[in-house]
Amino acid sequence: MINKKKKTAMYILMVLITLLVVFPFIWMLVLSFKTNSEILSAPLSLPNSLNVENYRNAFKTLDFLSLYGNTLFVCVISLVIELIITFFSSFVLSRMEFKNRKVVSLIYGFLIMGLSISPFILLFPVYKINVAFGLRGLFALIFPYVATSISFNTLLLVGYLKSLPTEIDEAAVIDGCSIWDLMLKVILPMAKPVIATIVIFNVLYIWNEYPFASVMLRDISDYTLSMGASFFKGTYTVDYGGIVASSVLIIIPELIFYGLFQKNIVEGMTAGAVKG
Amino acid sequence: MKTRTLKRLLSVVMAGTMAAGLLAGCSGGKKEEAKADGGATTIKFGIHVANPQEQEAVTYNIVQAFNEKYDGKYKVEFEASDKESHSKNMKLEASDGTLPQIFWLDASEAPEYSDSGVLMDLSDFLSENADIQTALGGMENAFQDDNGQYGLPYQCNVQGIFYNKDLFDKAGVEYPTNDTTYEDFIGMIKKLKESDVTPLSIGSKNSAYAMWEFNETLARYGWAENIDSILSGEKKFNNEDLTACFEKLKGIAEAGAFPENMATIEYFDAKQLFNEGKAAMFGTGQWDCAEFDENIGENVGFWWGPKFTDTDYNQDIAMKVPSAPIVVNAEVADDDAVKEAVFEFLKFYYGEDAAKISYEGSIFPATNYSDVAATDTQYSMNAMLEALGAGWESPEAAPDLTVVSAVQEALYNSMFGVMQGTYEPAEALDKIDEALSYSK
Amino acid sequence: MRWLSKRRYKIGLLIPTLLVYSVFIVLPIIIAIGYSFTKYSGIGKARFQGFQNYIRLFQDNVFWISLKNTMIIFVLAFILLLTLSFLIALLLNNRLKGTDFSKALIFSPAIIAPIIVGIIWVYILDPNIGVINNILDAVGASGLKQKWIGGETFSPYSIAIIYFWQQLGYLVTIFIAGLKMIPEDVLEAVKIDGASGVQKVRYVIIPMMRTTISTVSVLIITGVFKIFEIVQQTTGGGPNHLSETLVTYSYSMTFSSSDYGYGMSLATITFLLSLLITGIYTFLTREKER
Repeated sequence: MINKKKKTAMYILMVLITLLVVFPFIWMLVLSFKTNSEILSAPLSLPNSLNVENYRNAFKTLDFLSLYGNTLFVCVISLVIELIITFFSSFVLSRMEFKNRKVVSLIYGFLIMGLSISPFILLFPVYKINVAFGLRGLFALIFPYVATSISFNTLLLVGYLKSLPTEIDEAAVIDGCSIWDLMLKVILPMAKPVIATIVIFNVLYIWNEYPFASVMLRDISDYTLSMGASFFKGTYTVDYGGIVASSVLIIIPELIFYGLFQKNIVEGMTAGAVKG
Repeated sequence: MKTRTLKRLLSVVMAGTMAAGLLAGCSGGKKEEAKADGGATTIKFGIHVANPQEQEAVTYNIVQAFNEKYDGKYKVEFEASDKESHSKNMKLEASDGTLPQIFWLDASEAPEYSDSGVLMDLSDFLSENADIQTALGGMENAFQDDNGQYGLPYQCNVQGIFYNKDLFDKAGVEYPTNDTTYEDFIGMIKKLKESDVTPLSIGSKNSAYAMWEFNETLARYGWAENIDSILSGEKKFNNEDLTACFEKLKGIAEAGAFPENMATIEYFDAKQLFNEGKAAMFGTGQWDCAEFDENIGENVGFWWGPKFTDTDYNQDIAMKVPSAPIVVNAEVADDDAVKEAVFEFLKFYYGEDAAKISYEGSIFPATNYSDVAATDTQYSMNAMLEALGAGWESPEAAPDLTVVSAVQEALYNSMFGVMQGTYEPAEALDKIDEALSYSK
Repeated sequence: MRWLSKRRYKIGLLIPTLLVYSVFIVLPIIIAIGYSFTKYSGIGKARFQGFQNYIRLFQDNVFWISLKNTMIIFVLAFILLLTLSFLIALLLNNRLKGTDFSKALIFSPAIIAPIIVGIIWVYILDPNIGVINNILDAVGASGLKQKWIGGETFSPYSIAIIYFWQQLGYLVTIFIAGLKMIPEDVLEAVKIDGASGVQKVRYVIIPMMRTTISTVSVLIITGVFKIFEIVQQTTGGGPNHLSETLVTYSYSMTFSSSDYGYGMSLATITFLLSLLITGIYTFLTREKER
């Protein structure tokens, strides 16, 4: 199918791009084995020895079990809520009929608008809103996370659902499907790839989110992973080794997670969208 | 296939409802007030680092000692987050009344808290404890306004220039003394530069606050004498004295004192250059003493900075000043048990035992007790004590802490602008005037 | 479909999203805009002062500098990201062995916490200790050395490159998901017609990917106006606000200078600008479709 020359060229290009992109990432691994003064004074050199002090330090300073647990907790609850509500609303915006098309564009534009907002503008007002609702600790994070994901999810979901042929709906209606059947048994399975993409992005966002976490969480027992780095940077001292090592530890589950889901995108797609 | 999707959906919905249920159940109560915890009255101490055990070890140790001494009676717990978050958090907590009982505040922000009435007047505490007032020796004056004594100094900062004697010897440069002038200093910088070390390490990225050595320069050009009339609008920052002062900053920069990449290194990186013997001098305060003892040891020296001959203002000025204040939540006054615990803690914090702990950690406490001293191997601290031995007077507060945050930021920006060659002295001073006009 | 589009379904399914969104995004924005008309330090009471913050803003030199920097980053990042992530997605949308692995690796920068992204790139771009200048020295091209960050000119360009690096994997992933949507038989049909690779892309893939392309464009536009940590870590907006972007400058005013009112007026302008550009883009591409 593809001739050999072209194939080789593609491989070379692929490897080259991959290396270029991944180089800083590898570097981070290297840094994590260097002492603080090696990082600062000889940033380019390889570590003298395989120094695991940074990791030992990271484990000593941070309660990873609680950090992972809290992050996972917020992540799962936010994810479930945001997927349900944005799937429903995007379904309405992309596949239902409105007498006045302008209403759809208006609601869509309104929901997309949130993409333009940088999170720190929301910090103070959201804190006050949380206080008004009596939301504290980890629960204070859930709605802000759900809310900030709405714009992104709507953008992706509406775009994707619109592109599915309308004949599907008509066929389903003729078969006597209810609206729930149509949404959950016909459209949802077809939207798997985009949902996988959304899940990945949403999880990564929550995993690395710092501004809201730093403002909403008070108790050390509520801290999420992204707050780990602040344990290594004081007013007068900084431990770059600790920051890097703890970041590596934070990233590992993300890599595994991404590895798992990345396959899903492909699978979900090749399973064939036009089955319905 | 169909049933599987349904099941999945069901579980999703159930998780959702459970979450909602949890939310509802959790939203009530849990007020963050001091509570009786096994009989002990617990008070919260809001601190500006995320990890006090490592990053504010002295305070951590004092709190531990206090908790041990009053085991079962009083207990102090930290509410800890990094400085930036701490600053945001305190503002937010002030707005919804959940401030900790005691907390650290940036000196430039504290007056605004005081104005808004969330801080307790500590005059009573001081009058009840005359010995502490004596030990503070006037350090507390920096934190008084119309509402009374709104805060007490967290620690005492001694700021100036540390130098590495070894590098001076190698470059054949004499150590600076109390009489070293600006002109001598420029010659010193040039010689050090020739010997291939960075003369004076400094970094401006995200750390414009790290200009401590130049507080002395500002003070020697009449900062304390003029600041009130500048703030009241009678005078401008762009005046003869400060222009002359900023000209000196420019001169120091042009002599090649600073690292070439000062714009991309932070205070921490600049300090590392000094620690590793790549920079001959570094301006900072006593909080770095322990680090220098470890890295430079007996070769460390301390100096107040150059004297200036083109001004009539007093040049015999030291820089031993109160650091940021710790303040007490106004609500404490309403609860006798809590008030008792807070006062006991303050008594301990400003007592002799705490001062000892402080010295052990190479930090100058805000208090002065005659029996407390540094040991022989605390080289950096001894170097500072030697400099203090000249008996010069210090200003009531460090110049950069006498203005509100917006003006303070502009001051930092302007000083580094001159040092980095982006602004001319007059232009830089205009920018501070501008910030002051907007801050009103 | 029509008879399923009952009003109560529509409302019922839209309400949860609209509710959360209104309370936690729209209301805060309104509050923030409200503060932009006040003098407020974050403590105590805000004092209403009309348009004073906005008047100040237009006279503020640093505002114009950060606007210029933001626009430089925007133009550069938009062009680079849109074209290259599309091309790389095309390259990776094949069945060659190892593609999955390569896809995963290209995505990896997106996983690194932004603060670490900054630290890593400082070691690449720093004028003294950075890789680039050291390599230029080593190959005897010292004349080409630049202050990539921390100087007066190059910082915004460098930030655009870092942002490109960070976002590439995200956008490639979205493009790949879009490519997967093109039915296999359409591409096969084109192949039988004997279309060349370029023709295939030009006349079949691009038109069919219109939604994906506009999705990615909107993400790039809005993303650029939110860049924060990269700037904060590499230059901190310095020296002297010269590399500040709109977001970092408004952050610095809001939190470092405790001028919440002025910071929010900067943030409001940034928000409106981002909306405006997104709007213009949507408008222009709509016209083309007709």
